[in-house]
Amino acid sequence: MKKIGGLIEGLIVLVLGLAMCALVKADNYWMYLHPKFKWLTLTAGIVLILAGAITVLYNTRPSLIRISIFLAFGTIAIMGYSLPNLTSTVASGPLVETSTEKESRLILKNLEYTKINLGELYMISGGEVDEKTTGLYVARGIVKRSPKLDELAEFVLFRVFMWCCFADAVAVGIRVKYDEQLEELRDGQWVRVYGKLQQLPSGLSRPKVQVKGIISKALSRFHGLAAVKVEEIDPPAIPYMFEFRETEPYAY
Amino acid sequence: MSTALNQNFYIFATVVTALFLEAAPFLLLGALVSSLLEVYFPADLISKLMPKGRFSGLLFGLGAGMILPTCECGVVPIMRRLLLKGVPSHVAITYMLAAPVINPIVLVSTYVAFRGNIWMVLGRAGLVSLTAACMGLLLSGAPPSTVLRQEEANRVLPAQEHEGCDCGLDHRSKGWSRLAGLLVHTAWEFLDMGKYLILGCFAAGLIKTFMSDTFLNVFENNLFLAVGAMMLLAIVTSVCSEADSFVAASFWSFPKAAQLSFIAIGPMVDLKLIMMYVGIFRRRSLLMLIIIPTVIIYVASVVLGTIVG
Repeated sequence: MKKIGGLIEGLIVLVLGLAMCALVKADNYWMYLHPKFKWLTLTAGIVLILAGAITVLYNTRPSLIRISIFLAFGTIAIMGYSLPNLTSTVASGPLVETSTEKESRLILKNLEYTKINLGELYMISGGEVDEKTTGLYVARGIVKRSPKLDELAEFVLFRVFMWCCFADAVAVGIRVKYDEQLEELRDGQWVRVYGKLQQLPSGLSRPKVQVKGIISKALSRFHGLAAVKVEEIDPPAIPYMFEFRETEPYAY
Repeated sequence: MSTALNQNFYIFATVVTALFLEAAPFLLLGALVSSLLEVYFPADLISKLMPKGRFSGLLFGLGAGMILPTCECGVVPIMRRLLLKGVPSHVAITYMLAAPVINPIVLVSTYVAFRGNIWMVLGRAGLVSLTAACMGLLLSGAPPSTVLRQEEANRVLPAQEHEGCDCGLDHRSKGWSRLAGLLVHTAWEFLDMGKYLILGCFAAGLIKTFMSDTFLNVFENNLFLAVGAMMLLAIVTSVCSEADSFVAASFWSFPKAAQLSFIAIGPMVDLKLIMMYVGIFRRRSLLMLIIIPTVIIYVASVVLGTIVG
C-alpha cells in the first residue's frame, strides 16, 4: 500500500508539474494568470517534476483524502480548460493578434486620436483632468448598456484588468456619451470608441456594471468619453489588460 | 449542459484553477523551506537561534516577516515546521500572520495601488503587525501540543523514526539520499498543505461565481457596515496579499477605513487560510486565529475611520 501510495502521490506531483510547464507554453496562460508570472509557474513546475519523479521511487505514506482532493481539482481544471470561453468578458477570438497597428495614434477625419487602454484612461480620468490630459483618445472595450444609461445617451465601455490572476481581476470602465445610434449597440459587443475625454454631467453618479465572475469594478466617476465614432471590432486575441503606462505610447 | 450552467462551471473552474496556480509556487516555496528546516536543521540548533524573551520573540517574528517575503499560502507550512522544531509559539504565530503583509513587495504594491497614499501603507503594516503581535502574546508559552492538532503535535515525539515528520522517510541519511529526501519531503509537504488550499479555492470559486457585488453597495455609506462588508468580502474572495490592494482600491466609493480593513484581514483570515488552519490547528487555536484578528481589524478600522474619516 505504501508503495502504491508513494507511486500515486509522486505521479500527482509529477503530472501537476508537467501541466504547469505545458501551460506556460500554451496560448491561453493569460486566462488564469498575468503573463509576468510565467517564469514563476515554470520554475514551480520544474521543481514539482523533480520532486514528483523522485517521490515515485520512494515509499511514502499515502493519504486517500489527499489523493482524492487533488484528483478532483485536476478533473475540474481539465474540464474548465477544455470548455470554450463562455464569459461575456472574453469573446473567442483568433489566437494571434491580427492588428498590425504600431503607431500610438489613429487618424479620424484629419484628427489624431491617442490609442489608450481603459485602465490608462481610468487613471487619467480619476485625477485632475486638465488641458494636458483632456484630449482625443481611442479605446477598445466591451459595451455595457442599461435603461438608466440609455436615458442619458450613455453606455459603459469596460475591459477586464488582471493584476495577478483571474480571481483578482477588476472590470475597469468609463462612461461614454454617445448621442448617435446608441440603440445599435448591444451588451457584450467589442467596439472601438473615438472620443474626447471630458467632464460628463453627473446625472448618474455610479453606473452599475455586472460582470459575471468579477466582483470588483473601477468606473470613472466624473469624466468620460464624448464619442464621435463607435465601431464594432473583433475581440483582441488577448482581451484582458495587463499593463498601465503613464505616458504615450500607451499599452492600448 | 445548458449555456448558463456551462458558463457558471467555466467561471468556477477558471477561478479555482487561477487561485491554485497563483498560490502553488508560493506553497511549494513554503514546502521547500519547511523541508530544508526539517532535513538540514536539527531542532536544537533552531532553538539556540531563537530569542528567549517574549517581546524580543515578537520582534524576531515581525523582523523575520519583513526579511522573508512569503505569501499567506507559503507561510503556513513554514510556521508548522517551526513549531514542530521547537520555535516558541509566539514567534512562529507572529511570523505567520505578519509575513504576508509587512514585506517590501506587498508594501510597495499597496503604495502603487493606492496611488502613493502612504497612510494606507502604514495603516496596513501597523494593523497587521499589531494583530500579529497580539496573537503572538495570546499564544505565548503554549507548547505545540496545545496549538497544533493531536496528529500534528505527535510528530515531535522524539521516539519517532522520522524526526518531526511522518512523511515516511529517514532524514538522517547523508549525501544524495538526503537531497532526495528533501525533494520527497517537499512533495509530501506540498500535497499535505495543498489539499487544504484546494478546498479553500473551491469555496472561493463558488462564492466568486455566484455572488453579486450589488449587495455591497447598500453598506458603503455606513462606516460600521462598510468595514464589515469589505472584511467579509476579503475573507470569501481569498485574493493574494500581493494583489488585494488593487482590488480594494477599486472599491473607491467605500470609506478608506473599509478598504484598509480589506487589505489587513485578507492575508490573515480568508477561505484558503481557514481551510489550512483547520488542517493543522486545534479548535481553540483555530477559533482564536479567526476571531481575534477579525475583531481587532474591525474595531481598529472603525476607530480609524471615525477619527480620520
